[in-house]
Amino acid sequence: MLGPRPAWRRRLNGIHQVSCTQEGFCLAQANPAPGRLELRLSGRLGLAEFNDLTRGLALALEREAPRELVLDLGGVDYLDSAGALALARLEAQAGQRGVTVEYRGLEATAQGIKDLLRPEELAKPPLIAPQRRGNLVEVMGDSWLNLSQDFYQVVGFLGELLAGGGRALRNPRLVRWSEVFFYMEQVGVNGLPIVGLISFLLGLIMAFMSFLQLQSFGANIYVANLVALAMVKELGPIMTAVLVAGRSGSAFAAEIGTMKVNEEVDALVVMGYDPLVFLALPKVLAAVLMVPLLTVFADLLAILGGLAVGVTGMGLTAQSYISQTLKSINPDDILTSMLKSAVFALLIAGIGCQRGFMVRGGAQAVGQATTSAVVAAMFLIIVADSIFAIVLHYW
Amino acid sequence: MSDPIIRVENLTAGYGESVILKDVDFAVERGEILVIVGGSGCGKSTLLKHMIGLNPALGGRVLIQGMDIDQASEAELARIHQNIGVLFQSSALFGSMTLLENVALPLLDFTDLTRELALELARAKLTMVGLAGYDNHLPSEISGGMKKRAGLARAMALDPVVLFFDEPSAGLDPVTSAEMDQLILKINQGLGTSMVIVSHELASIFAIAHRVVMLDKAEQGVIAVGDPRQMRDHSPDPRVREFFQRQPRT
Repeated sequence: MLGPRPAWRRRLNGIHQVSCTQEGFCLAQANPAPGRLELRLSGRLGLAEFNDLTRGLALALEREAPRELVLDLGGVDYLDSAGALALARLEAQAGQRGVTVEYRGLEATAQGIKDLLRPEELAKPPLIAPQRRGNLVEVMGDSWLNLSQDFYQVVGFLGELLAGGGRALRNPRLVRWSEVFFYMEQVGVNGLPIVGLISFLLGLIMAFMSFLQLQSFGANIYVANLVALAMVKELGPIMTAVLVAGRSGSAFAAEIGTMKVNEEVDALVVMGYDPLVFLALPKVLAAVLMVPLLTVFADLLAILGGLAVGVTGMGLTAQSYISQTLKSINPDDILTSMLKSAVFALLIAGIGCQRGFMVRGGAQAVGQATTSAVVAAMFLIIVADSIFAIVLHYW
Repeated sequence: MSDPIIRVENLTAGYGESVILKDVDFAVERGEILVIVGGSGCGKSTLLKHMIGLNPALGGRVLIQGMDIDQASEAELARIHQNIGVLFQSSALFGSMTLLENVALPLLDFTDLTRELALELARAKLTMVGLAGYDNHLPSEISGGMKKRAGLARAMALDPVVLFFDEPSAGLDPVTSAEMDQLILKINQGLGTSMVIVSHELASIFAIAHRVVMLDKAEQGVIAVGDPRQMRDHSPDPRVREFFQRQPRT
């Protein structure tokens, strides 16, 4: 370290001060004539020495305040771009003070390195200003603008999707059915284990918690009603939709987003395909077909979870539990549940694809689209569910 | 003559069970620009990945400054990686960071430089590759050629002793490609950096290569080493002449 931690300093012939770093370089100062400062550098001038070198050189220039500066690099064994930058900085500082700079012992190699760092280019200001985070009002304004823009885009996309669906209805050959079956497997069949497990556990927990309350009234049998009604009317569609949004909505956004980044979507356009029909429609169709079935499966597994608690913990027979369950729900409830699920599926798959198509840039944008697809889908699921609750109440 | 900076000794390269190259043996001298050439699918990029320690050798070894990269401890490997720089084919710039942040990242994390000096040095690296003023641009806001140069600036951030390039001219127009060649030569001459370049751009190879190692898919190994012009005009192997004379296979 120069200055504060010199390995040694002493007076030499004509040289009045020498400072060396413990390993690295030595800086010797001499004043052969009034107003003339000679700085003799030796050893390594590299990245590891950059901090000490810039400080040492600046210090020498400031302390001696010369009119002429001679930089002798004769003893330098190694010079890299960091060392060259330290010299360029010194040159710039000297220039600002009107000090002339002369180099000595500058080998061709060192000259080559110095030439790579063009001083006039180094001083060039950035072409664009760094991105600034605005104040609270600006951030709120931006957020509001983004939200409204987002709303228009989502509505526009769903409209285009429905129009695409209409075209596909008139001409079913437009739809890539092999893709539809592939995504039906992805969304539906591959989702069975996680949807089944979570629904079973949910039914089990609901039955157990409600049993603890209802047993004091001797109304154990109504646990079956509670589990069946809650699952079929509300929790089944919502839970399934949330799981599908996490599993498939995000996957759709990531897949289409990556295709956007790789210009695959552009390739489809120039080949004459409608990316919406080619990419989004199979996913949306598959989701709309499979999510209602997944919901029914979730309802069944939750009832099974309730049954397990009823038989093992509440002293009910399987027959009485099932018969009470069947009494509590009617086919309309199941149909409504499936209809809700189909709408949720449309929203999840639609928003997933829309977020994918919105990707601009690289990997980070794909990540943002994936997160946004899940968050927006969950929000829309709850909004749609609220609308269903009101409409079904007055139906 | 000083020790070679890299030695590839009887290297068997590939992925898992699939062997792509067998018994590859060559050295990279200090300050040398060595270009690895060969037809598509001959294993150029695979060899490069083995040389930079991304793929473990299936047999043989790669020594960088005398250190076996497969046997190196985590700390030794980190030291090796700080002594090498890699320009990937797609530039591999971090999309969420500006060009200055991309270049400054290793300087801030692996050196004792103050933030101010690290940023100044990063700016200097951008200047060296002709991107002065592009500090605050994101990778998505610049052209392919500029991305390559920014990738090179990041690869050079820690002044490595060896720079590896995977197809530096791929996807560039002839003028930008020639500028890239010039930049490579300038850095090699100015900083004395050893360079290993994977390429099959003949114009670039003739412009920059001190020596060429040619790989062949059928042979699964090296079929020629030497000066590219000599190989073009005097190689006894017709596959080598066809490659350098840009002729279809007979």
